[in-house]
Parts: sequence; structure tokens; C-alpha cells
Amino acid sequence: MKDKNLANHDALLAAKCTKGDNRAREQLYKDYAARVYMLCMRYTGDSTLAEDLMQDCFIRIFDNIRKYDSNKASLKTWISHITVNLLIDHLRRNKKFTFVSIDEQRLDIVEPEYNSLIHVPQDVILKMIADLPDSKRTVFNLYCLENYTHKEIAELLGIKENTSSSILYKARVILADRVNAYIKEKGL
Amino acid sequence: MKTDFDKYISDQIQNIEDNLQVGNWGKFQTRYARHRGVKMVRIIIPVVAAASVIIVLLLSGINRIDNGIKRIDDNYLLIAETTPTIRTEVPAFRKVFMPSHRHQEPTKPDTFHIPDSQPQIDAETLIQENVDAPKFEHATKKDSIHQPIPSYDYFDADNDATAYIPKKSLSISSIGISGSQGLVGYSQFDMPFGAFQLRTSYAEEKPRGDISHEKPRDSILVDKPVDNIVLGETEEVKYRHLPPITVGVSLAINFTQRLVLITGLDYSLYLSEKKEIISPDKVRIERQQLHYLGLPFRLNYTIYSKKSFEWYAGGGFKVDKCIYAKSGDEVLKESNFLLSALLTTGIQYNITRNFSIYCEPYCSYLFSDTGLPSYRSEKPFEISASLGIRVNL
Repeated sequence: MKDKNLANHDALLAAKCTKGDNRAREQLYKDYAARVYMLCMRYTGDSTLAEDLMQDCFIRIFDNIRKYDSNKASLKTWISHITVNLLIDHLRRNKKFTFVSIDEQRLDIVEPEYNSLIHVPQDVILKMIADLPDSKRTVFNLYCLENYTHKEIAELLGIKENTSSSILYKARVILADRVNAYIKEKGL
Repeated sequence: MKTDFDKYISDQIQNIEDNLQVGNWGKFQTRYARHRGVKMVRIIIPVVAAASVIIVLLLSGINRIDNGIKRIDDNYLLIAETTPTIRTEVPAFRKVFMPSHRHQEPTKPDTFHIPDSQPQIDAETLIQENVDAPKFEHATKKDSIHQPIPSYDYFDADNDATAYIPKKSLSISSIGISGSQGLVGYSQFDMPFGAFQLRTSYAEEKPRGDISHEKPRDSILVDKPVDNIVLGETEEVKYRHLPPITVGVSLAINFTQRLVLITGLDYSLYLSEKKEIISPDKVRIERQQLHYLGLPFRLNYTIYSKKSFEWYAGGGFKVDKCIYAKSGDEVLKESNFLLSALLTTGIQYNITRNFSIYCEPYCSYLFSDTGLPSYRSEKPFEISASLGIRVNL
């Protein structure tokens, strides 16, 4: 029931935006600005660039809003998809990707203790993700936060599934190491 | 497989998102308005550019036609200047060769007035010999006159004479504006230029220095000699054909990303000038118009595409049916279908998602025979090109 209401709401909002209703556009912008900004921030790791790219994303969203089909996906999913595609294009255009398959033996990742992890501030976690190398950050975001499969990531980035998997492993290792180091440093 | 660590981070990110206040709607509005302005300019500029190209090509075609007319006039004047002046009674049928305003009242002596050192000839002898000859032979041979006599053609004036512009011998370029509907559809307007065109003219329109213009000319001497008139033969028919004008609506159906079937409906108009010698001193000129509807089937394959640029090639066939034909006042009938094969290659530049410009050279060959002579029946193999705009709606 809730999903149906959401779909109706999304469809109505998209329809109004298609007709050029400026209020509807404003509402859509305000509803999804944080989502889009966070995606940009997570993928670029640069707040100024993220803000700039956010505007580009909304331009693309409004240019393509007539293609939105509420029966296929929620507006949030659709907007996220457009944003991720734009960000991948941006990173690819700026040659930020260096995908190298890592053949090293995969050891178990020493994940931080949950009781310690909850004391790590959110902005610190965000900063740690932003500080990951571009390719690792992208794969980590796509897999862990956007719920893409390795097959989808491979298709999107033009790499092999194994490469995606190995890059994700490396990203997790780096992130876990940094969180553990932070916990150790702060005595959490 | 997601780990607890992944899930925790995902939750934290979601939490940040939920509490984040970002975005400046006012600033975005300004940027979006600018973007739309730029987008509009990006559409307008190529459309204006394409329209300009079309206009330039049209003007170029018109200019060629005007030059053609001028050449004919020059020919006429040249003939008037170089043709020996006949100072004798000119037989009625001879007037066919001569513009009426050049017919001065006959005066004696009965000789040609040949400039400077040219030998003179007895006009009556010449005319008599021409009339008696079983076949027309050049006067210069019979009379040992080595002065080159200009070749003549004619057209019947009747105060609204139709003048010919000499046609171009080979390919015809064309311009086109196209649009599309559905998958990819487009309408096409092909107008050949630079060939020849029917045009009416009056003798009075071209005053000529010392020439008296008491009455409009009835005929004019242009180009080739019309032998048969001198010989008194009748019922000979000659045609001059204009390249066809085609208007069409097409629909393109994408089979794959590269393979496209193009079909639609084309309308073609074939205009011809028919000259019929009905008596030794009378020539009838009629305008023949043939209206065809055509059904093209063509497969296009995109050979290369990069960003907004596409290069494609294709081939297919077209079936044409004459829906109306008329020559002068007489309505003609043609029951045959005309089958032609078509090979084409083209380049297309997608200016925006909805607008593309293309240049499409093609060649076609007409297999069928037709009882109605036209430009196409005269030239079954045709090379042409279209330049146009394709609109994807």
C-alpha cells in the first residue's frame, strides 16, 4: 500500500516536472538534493566538485524526467541511477580509473568491533570512504551502498567481474584498516 | 556478499543523507535556465545553418538557371549578329527558323549579306536546293560556303514561348528536409537544382538595340537545325525532360541498433517539354506532367558511429505507379508499375536527440519499361544526392 502510494506520488511529481511545473521541480530538487549530493561526495571525495556535479545531475534529471516510468522503479532509484551514471562518466572522462586485478591471496578482513565502530563519527567514515582511491571507492560505493552486483559493476565500468571483486576486497581491507587505526588512535 | 561492516557503513551514510541540508534551488534555477538557453541555441544554430545551406543551394540552382537563360539569349543574339541577312522574300516555312522581329521587309538584291571576306551566295538557290534535297544537307557543303553557320533549334513562341535551359548532362544534386515519427520517421523533400527548368518568356522582354519590336517574335533560332521542317516531314516528336521533384514521408524501423528498414510513400513529379512537328511550318509544344506514387523499401546498415556522427550504407528497391499523366490537354494512362533498385550511402550528424542533418548520395536504376517518356525512362541509371534534416519525434 505504502509502495503504491509512493509510486503514485513519484509518478505525479514526475508528470508535473515533465509539464514544466516549476514548483514540482523545486520539490523534487529539495527532496533529492541530499541524496544526489551524498552520491557525488562519495564518488568524488571532493565537496566542491560534488556540489558542482550535483547541479549537473539535476539538469540531466530534469532533461530526462519524461522518460521516468514509476512502474519500473521508484523516483529515488531512478535518480540514483542517473546520478551514478553521470559520476562514472565524469570519473572515466577524467581518467580517474585504473582497474588492476589484484591476484594476491585474500586473507580475512579484520573488521572493527561493532561496539567500537558505533563511536566513530559519521563524517569520519564518510571522509575515509572519500579518501579511498577512485577505482576502489567507486566499486565499494556501487557494491556496498548502491547494491549493484559484480556483474552489473563489471558491465558499467567495462571490467571483469573478478576484477570488481578483487577491487572491492582491497577497498574493504583499506577501509577496515583505517577504521581500526582510528579506533585504536582514539581509544574507542 | 555484504558484511556487517558494509551494512553498518551503509546505514551511517543513509543517516547522514537523511539529516543533510544541501542544495540551493535559486542558484540551480539560474544554471538550469542558462543550460536550456544553450540547449536551444544548439538546436537553432544547426537548423539555421542547414536552412542556410539549403537556401544557398537553391540560390545556386536558380543562378545556374538564370545563367542558362542568359546563355540562350546570348545564343540568340549571336545568331542574330552572325546569321547572314536575307534580303529577299523569305518563304513562309523559313520563318520558323527566324525570329519575327528580325524579318525585315524584303529588299533587293536577293543575296545574302555576308560580312567582310566571306563569299556570297544566292539565297534562292540555297533555299531551293534545301527544299528539293531528299535529306537535309548543310548549306555550306552544297554551296561551298565555308563560313560556319550556327546550329539552330527552335521554339514556338505564340507570344508566351517556353524557353529551355540546357540541362546538365550528369548527376543531379538535391536538397532535402526530413522529419521522423515513431521509431524514426521522416518526411523528405528532394528538389534537384542546377539542371534545367521550363520558363516562359516574351520577345518583348529582351529588347535588342537596333532591332525593331513592332510585334512579339513567333519563333527563335537556337542550337540545332531542325532538318525535318525544311524537308517538310511531320509528326516527329521530341522531348526534353526535367529531373523529377520528389516529396515523401518515410518510416524507419530499427531491427537492431545498426540495421534499419526504411519504407514510406514518395510522390514524384516528372515534367517534360514535348515538341511535335505537325506541319513543315508549325510546331506544337506541350508540357507533359507525370505524377507518380512510390513505395520504397530499403535496408540501411550503420557502418560506423561515434558520438553524434553516423555513416551508413544501404540498398533496396522502389515500386512506382503513375497516378496521373497529362500531355497538353490530353490525359494519358500508364498501367505498368515501375521497379527500380537503389544503392545509397550517407553520413548523418545528430545535432541533438531530435535533430540530425544528413548527406546521402545514392544511385538508382530503373528496370521497368514505361510507355510514358520521362527523365527517368531516358536515364534509367541515376546518381543523385540528398542533403537534409531528419527530425526524430
